[in-house]
Amino acid sequence: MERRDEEMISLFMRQQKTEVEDNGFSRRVMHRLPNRSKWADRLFNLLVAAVSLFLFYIFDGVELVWNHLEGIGTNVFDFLTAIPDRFDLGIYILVMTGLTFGYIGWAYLYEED
Amino acid sequence: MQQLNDISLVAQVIVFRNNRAFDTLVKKYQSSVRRFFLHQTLGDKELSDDLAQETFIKAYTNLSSFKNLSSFSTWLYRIAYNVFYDYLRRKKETDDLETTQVDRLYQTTQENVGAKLDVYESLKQLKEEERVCITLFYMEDLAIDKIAAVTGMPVGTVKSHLSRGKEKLSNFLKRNGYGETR
Repeated sequence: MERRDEEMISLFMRQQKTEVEDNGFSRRVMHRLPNRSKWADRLFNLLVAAVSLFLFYIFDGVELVWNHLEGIGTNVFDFLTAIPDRFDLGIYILVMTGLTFGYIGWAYLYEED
Repeated sequence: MQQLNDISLVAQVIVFRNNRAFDTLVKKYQSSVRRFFLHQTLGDKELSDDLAQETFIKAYTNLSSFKNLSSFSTWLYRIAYNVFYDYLRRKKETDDLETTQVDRLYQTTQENVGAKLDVYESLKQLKEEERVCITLFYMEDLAIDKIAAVTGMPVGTVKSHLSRGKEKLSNFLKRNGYGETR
């Protein structure tokens, strides 16, 4: 092929080359992406829940919880008047609240993307 | 530098599940991928966008298989090329067409005197493989070895397709008076 013909083709192609405007194309692609992270998270949560339930059952969790509730119910007055006991409960409530909000915060941050 | 940026973005998607990084990659390459499909489909915008979306989704789901043996753009074009040929195969099965008939769909042997001299008219003259090689070479500025990597064809075959494609394009342009005005 002659050089002149090569240049003609090259020039023609360069003139015809256009950039394609996005016009929401990227947004549509991102919406259609498979949601891998949520699927993995659900599976992980399910697994942890299953293991927790299993451990709860084999270590007689129901009986333990019932005995504990029973103990609280019969000693409420003593518990409220006993400052050292109240202090322990306070720490317990603080720790559980902290863990709960910590988990919620982590879940919120993780879900943000 | 561009290659380093792409690798960094890919790593962010794979390791940190950072979808914003993938969004950056989509915005960066959407024009060239969609343009590639516009040229293969001879200007069918809807079909091109569908195929381009499929390309990016496949890229996303297979991102962990990107081994950095080639540039990210070459890898992406390879996916696009495979997506296009998968589409053609599905179309052949649906329409029960022979390959030669499919070629004829995208090719005219008739002289269309006075036809608008645009890129799609010129690309109609070419067979699929010639069109792919010509558009990747002239429109996407890929070197011959990169085109070979994208298409899986030997370098010699790419050169043959380019040579035949240029011959047909040259004849078409001259027939339509393009060469005479320069």
